[in-house]
Amino acid sequence: MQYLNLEEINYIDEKFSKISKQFGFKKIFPKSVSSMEASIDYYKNTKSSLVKIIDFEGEVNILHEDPTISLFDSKILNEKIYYLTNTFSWDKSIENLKGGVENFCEESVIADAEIIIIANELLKNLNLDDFTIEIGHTHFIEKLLNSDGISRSEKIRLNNAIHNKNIQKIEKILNELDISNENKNALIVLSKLFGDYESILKNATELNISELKPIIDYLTKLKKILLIYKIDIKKLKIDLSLTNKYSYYDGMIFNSYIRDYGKKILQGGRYNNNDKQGVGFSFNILNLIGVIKMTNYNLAKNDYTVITNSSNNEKALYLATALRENGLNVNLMENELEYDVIKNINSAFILSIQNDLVNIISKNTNEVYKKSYNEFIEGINSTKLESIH
Amino acid sequence: MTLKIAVSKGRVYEDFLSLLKSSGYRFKDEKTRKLVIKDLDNSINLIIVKAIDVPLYVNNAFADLGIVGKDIIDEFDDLFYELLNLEIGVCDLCIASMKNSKIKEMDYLKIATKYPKQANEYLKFKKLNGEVIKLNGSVELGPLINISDCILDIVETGNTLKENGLEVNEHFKKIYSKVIANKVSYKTKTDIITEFINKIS
Repeated sequence: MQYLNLEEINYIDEKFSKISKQFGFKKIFPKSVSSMEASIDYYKNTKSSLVKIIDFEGEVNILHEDPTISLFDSKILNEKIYYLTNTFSWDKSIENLKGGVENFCEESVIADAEIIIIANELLKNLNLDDFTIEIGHTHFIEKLLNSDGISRSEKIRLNNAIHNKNIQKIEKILNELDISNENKNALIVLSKLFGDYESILKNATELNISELKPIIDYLTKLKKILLIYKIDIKKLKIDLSLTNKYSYYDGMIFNSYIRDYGKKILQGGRYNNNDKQGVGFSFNILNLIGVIKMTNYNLAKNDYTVITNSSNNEKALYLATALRENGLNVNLMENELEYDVIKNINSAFILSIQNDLVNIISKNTNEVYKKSYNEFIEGINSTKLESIH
Repeated sequence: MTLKIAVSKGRVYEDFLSLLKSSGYRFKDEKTRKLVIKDLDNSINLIIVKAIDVPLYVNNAFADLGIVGKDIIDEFDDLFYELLNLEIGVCDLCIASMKNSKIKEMDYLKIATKYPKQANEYLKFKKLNGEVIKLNGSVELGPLINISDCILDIVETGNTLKENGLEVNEHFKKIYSKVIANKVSYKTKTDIITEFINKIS
């Protein structure tokens, strides 16, 4: 890609900024470069994809792949911030654009719930109705794997098998281990513990393992707060074997995804690293734009395209002028009203004139309707914009 | 709702089709050269692709599930869920070299292979120094024209090795096909994927 469409990015930025500000977050611009020494520990699982630069003195620096890590190196404490920034990785397209929020605060279920609600509001405001937020907890697997009788290498093998939901492999590894049957069963059940919030919470409680009780209590409290925020409980899921590629997460973690889009669209959670504690989430803006386009929602919702040909130039010019005078953006296009032309237009409404009628095509709803030309112009000039459609 | 399944073409596809039929799925046009095959109840769509492309179809959500050998899966990191092992496409991933070559005595080993990640794992596992030469086909040529000391490749009957004067030195790992799933599809289509897995297992 040679350039990014700034209008599409602004569309997301506007919605994201409005919601973040409502919750008392302030906008910052995280730095992209840090010394490799200061950050490398946080990139344990992704260090081969880091973009590195060497300065004149031979010092190796990295261009951040994850803006949260660049903030670990800053003086921010007890602050609520949000950002939109460039990120870098050799893994995919080298340069990317990410947005995110962070609340640098001590452990608090209220702060965790607030972050989940901001993610929920963002996706709702982007009209992505079919999204799901899936919540997990890093301590859940850790507690079960900390039983006596599991060596470090077996822990890694088991963790990978649980992460991949490879039940046959989990069973095979567990059969070789000298741990209690109670913990063996819990580890097998664990990889199947995902789905509706209420039922998974109930299943996890029924495992009746004392070490897991604090996590179950936490998830119960979290649900209670999210319900006060009027979250749609059907959109909330739990996956107790959820993991994250970044090793700094410590506690609640969450992902969001949408049906038929095979990647996560948002991810976050709680971290606790030396002097930096907090909770946050981030999203890849280009992925989000891709999802919005996939759901056929037009990003340029205030824009009009007026298609004109030689037979109706004059009326088309009057129409375009009237719309612009009322603060709307209008692209006047000399062309025929054909499928191939309409398909490639990126405006919310396409207008064309046929004798004394205006044909109106809504790209958002795919509806087509007609109005009298005079009535349409009158509607615009009397600023009753809703009356023109 | 239809389940999209990317299947590795060739023997794996044929064996998988037999498994589907014995599990109750019915097909009309499976013997054609079509690249997308639907069952009669329209509950599954099989997309026939090259083995190496199966993980890409699944990871990018062009398919919900994939049927592919462990040899291919182990070249990718953590991109999908591995739901079920199948007793099809069973063979071995082996180290082979020219007859009478003394690769066991070598302290620096050059391996030609289609599986660079696993070849590096082999060197690490054996605590050997060496290098891995990635070839996309006719791997047996490696030792024949002195590109490498040995090869790491899948061996079914061993006939190709024999015809080229090579022999198996070591069985590195057992290979079989697996059902893999796109991580989001597994969460958003849990019921139909679970029903499918229960039917074929």
